[in-house]
Amino acid sequence: MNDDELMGLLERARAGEAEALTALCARYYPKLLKYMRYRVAADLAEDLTSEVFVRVLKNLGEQRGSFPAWLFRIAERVVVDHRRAAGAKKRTVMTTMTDQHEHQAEDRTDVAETVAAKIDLEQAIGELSNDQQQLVTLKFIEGLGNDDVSAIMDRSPGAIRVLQFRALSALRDLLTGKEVRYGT
Amino acid sequence: MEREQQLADTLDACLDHVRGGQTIDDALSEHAADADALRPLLDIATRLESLPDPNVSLAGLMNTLGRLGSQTLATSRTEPTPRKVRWFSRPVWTRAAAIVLVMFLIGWGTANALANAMPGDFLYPVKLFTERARFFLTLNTEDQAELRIVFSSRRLREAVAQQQRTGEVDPQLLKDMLEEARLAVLAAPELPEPGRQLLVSRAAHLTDYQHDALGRFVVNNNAQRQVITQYRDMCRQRGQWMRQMLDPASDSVPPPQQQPPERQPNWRGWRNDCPMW
Repeated sequence: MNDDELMGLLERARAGEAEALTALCARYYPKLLKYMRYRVAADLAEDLTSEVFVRVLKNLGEQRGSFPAWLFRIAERVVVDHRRAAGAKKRTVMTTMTDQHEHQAEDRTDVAETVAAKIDLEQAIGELSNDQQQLVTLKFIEGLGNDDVSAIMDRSPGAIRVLQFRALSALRDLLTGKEVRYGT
Repeated sequence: MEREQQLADTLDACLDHVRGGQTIDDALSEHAADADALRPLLDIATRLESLPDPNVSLAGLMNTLGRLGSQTLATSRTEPTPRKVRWFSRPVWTRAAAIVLVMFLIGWGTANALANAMPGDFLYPVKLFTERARFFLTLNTEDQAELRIVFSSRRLREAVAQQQRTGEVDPQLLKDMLEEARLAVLAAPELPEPGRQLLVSRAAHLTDYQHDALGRFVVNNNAQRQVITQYRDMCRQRGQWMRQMLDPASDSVPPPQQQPPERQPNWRGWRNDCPMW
């Protein structure tokens, strides 16, 4: 979908045309689900993705500038609100993954393998600070460029580069069992 | 801090190179002093980029659409003037999402009823709704074009059934039939060979079939006959347009004793010549 098509779709959606809203939703649902999948517990991802679209519908009249950037900012607000409501600072580790790994671990006798199984990359993302998680998800999982990430997170490109360096360093430390220094 | 900023900038430059197709070793070749520090970070970035996409369930999408439908309905009730309602009127929209969700829960047995739904049936908006959802969940251009060909065939089948049932030709169905086929074939320039030729070939056969099928419509009045003739003409023109691209040399006769020049099909330009109303 090129920019003109997206603008046309947004125009129609703002006018309340259900078909355009459906098309927007169907178009961006997979991207937002992916974002949520790596930001919150897997069993919450679909519900929170739905919540993003409900907020999009409520606020579509006020949308200006890049639509995808606006969408991801709403998604982040949904994540933050959810965490605040749940009283949890960090992301709940995906239960299904953990269960699976624990079952696998029980079958093994090698302690080192058990530790390795528990600290996989997805779990390590969940151990990052909120800003680092957001950056990692937008940049490496959604595949966005620095300009988009910078616009979504409302930080300068230089700050984004430092945050990226710290996030990847923290992941390296988590994966190698070093003590992690949190910094945003 | 300065050292960290410098490493952060170098890492970002290396990430750009890796995204551009370079190997990690190549990207680090100009930064030998920092290579040991940055290599593990680039490895992790590569692993992050290859994490799997979550499975998108149609039920999840339908649930979201259902919530949007309810929200829209609630908003519209508080507004003094009704907004324009298209074929997806809001109550239908909400109801459609709910029905599809239920169908997912009770299994695909009911899907036959959906596939056989005709214009005017209660399930027909649901059928169009699932088509649309499936199309937008299909990310691959070739698969999207395939879906459009399927949709075009369905519109013809529905037009035939409708005509047999009511004796009337529904021009909207015929228009949708041609539009789906046109949009399918317009994707051809985006595809690599042989998928491109295959797609145009399939669309050309479909258009020929639609031309023949429209010729078998039994209509009793002139107005209906004119509609059929108009759509048959469009099918014929589009069939020719597609065949011309499949065999570009067919529209010209090479001079004798001279090897015909190799003609490279101009797919992009060809797209602009699609016969339209």
